[in-house]
Amino acid sequence: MRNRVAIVGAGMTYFRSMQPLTSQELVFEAVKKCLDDCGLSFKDVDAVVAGTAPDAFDGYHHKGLLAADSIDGMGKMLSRIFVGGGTGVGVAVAGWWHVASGVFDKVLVVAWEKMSHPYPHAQALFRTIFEPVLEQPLGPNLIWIFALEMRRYMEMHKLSKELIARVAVKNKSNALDHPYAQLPAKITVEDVLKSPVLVWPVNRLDISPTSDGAVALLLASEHEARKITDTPVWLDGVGACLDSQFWTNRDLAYPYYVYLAAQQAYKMAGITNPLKQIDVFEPYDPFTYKELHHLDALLGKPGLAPKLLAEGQLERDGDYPTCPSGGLLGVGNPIAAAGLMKVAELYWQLSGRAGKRQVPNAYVGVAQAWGDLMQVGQVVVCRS
Amino acid sequence: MDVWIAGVGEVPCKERYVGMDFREMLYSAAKKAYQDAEMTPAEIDGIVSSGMDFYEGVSITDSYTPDQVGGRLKFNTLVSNDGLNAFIHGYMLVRTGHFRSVMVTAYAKPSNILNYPEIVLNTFDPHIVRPLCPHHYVIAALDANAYLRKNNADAMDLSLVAVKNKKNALSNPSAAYAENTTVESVEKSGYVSEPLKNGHVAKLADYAAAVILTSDRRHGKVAVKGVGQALGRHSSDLASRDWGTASWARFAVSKAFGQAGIKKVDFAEVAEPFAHTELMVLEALELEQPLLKMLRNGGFDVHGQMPVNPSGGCIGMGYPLNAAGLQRLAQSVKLLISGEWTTCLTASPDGEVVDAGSAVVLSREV
Repeated sequence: MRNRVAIVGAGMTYFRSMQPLTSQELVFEAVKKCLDDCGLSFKDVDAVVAGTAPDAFDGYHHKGLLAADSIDGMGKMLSRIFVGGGTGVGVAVAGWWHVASGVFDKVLVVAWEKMSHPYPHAQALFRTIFEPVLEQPLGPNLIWIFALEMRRYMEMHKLSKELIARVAVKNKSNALDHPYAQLPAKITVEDVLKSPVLVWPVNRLDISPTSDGAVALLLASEHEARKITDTPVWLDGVGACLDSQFWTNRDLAYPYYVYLAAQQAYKMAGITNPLKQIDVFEPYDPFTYKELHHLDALLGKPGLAPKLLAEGQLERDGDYPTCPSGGLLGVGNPIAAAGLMKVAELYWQLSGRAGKRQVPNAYVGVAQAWGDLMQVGQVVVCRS
Repeated sequence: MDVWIAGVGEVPCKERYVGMDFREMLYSAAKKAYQDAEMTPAEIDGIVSSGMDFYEGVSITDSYTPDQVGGRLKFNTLVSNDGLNAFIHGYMLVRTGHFRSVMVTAYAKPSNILNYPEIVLNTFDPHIVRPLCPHHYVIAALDANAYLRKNNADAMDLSLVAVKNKKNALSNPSAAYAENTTVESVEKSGYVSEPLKNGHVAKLADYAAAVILTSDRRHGKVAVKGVGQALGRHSSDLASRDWGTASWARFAVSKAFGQAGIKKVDFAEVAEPFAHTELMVLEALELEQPLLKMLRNGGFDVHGQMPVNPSGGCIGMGYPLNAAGLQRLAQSVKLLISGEWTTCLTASPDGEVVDAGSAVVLSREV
């Protein structure tokens, strides 16, 4: 019988360009806030799981070791989990197995990204994620491949740009209530449609920003969690799935790998009907259409998310509050930290500490991140 | 919950695999592991891979891990550390009770890397350390020098380690650098950075390994009795380093032994990018006699009191970068199954000159 795992504390930095702070300083700040949140010091921590995306961003080889500069970790286990854009939720999944295995009682998970280092822009480094023989010679960038996926998704479900733009309007508006948000704004559908087209059908305001930032959570076994807080949030389900590297060989209209990861997490958490049993959704939204694309997979019903959006049900006060944090579109997208921010949001929502962002009667939530060559799904289900 | 190793597969170490890319190497290693475990990919619930971007020459290394090992559309994760660290994650996954069988993979193709010393240099601080352009041999030599001074050891002791491992590798078909050499020959091999000589350095090798962990006793060949991983005094600016000491080893070995409930093992497999690494890690063990005395008296030889690296170690087999830990583990399992020994410590640092690492205690149940 596995051990039950709880989230007992969270902390994060601002999401934005944080020059001149280093990655190590961002990690220190997030970890300190997290430990202060649960009234512990680093000596109370048994192990650390670090999450951060490509080494190229920091220009460090083996850059998970940067966490060693920020923490007094001698004698403690330190690992780095790395599943591309899925890393932020993936690091929480890894923290879960540290505790659920019974090997550790209190595990710090910390994710960070420093995207303001690369000059002139982090986008150039993304070219190095592509297959070096077949794809890199074509000079692809991320926006091109997302444009392909968005176009396919729109075609499959006959979606308009106007409808998809409502995701940006909703999330940037939600982010107005997030104290660490990078791009909170009151915008309109027209603003999104009039923003520059980068690669059709992707407009500037369809995309989340590049950001710096760090987020830390403390996970604890049940008996330790009860000592630390009266309001633990239980990490009751986890899932992870990786599809083939050969992304060109699959239908981009539906992220089946996200569906499979969600099904793993739901099975573990006893979720049989996510629409009825889940109160808060935090799908990964680096682009507007991705929120809908991923929500389709989390609900297991292709094409349902756009209908819910059109009906206004994804608003914070709707029946299916989606990205009440403001998501990556509003809060920012420091790759690995962005995913963990979504898990932190579940912690704050389900423990009743989300302030102005609080979703009423929130007891069960799901967070998800995605990445690699459009192939990885990482999912957690939390319960208060 | 008991966790077992059901099977191991490896592609032998070689200076260079021509016409075989990492996917084909991993495919071959995984296929052998499935055969060894008498399992099929359908019986595997998840994959844990070890990989590092700069070694692979791509960003987001984990994108490239599932296809060739039967991992597509399964639970996957990548640990960007040494392969033995990844193994410990696989162990924890099985211990949750949610995964019956998990495959752990690691590979290295250093023959594809044109600027290996530059990559290792990028482990360190760009303002304080990198401008000095220290080759990692220099950093290792600082460690070796400090070790020799702290322990009143002689540089020739490093040659004893190298000779032992190169000779042991003669009986290992997976070894790339086996040699019936002598201390005199190693001593004449020329300095790479004093006191380290060419013969004290494990040469790089292409390699791949896959290991299947399971909670299913029917498939279990070797039991995982204890695990430990620890950060030592690593820092990117080297400021907090305790030179001449593998600070991580004491913590990691102590955790692994504590969990296993034992204090000694029949033999040890230690990843040693340099000869002194082996000695620094062995300092963490409670030995019957002083370490250097045992070394000089042949106590670590194949038929000594506690054989160390009877497979040939990395000096005899070749150093496969982050796959070194899984390489040691695969040798440990093969040696345990061969029947001469019952218990083993496998240990591996998290990199050539990184003060962090992992330890695992294995046992062949008799």
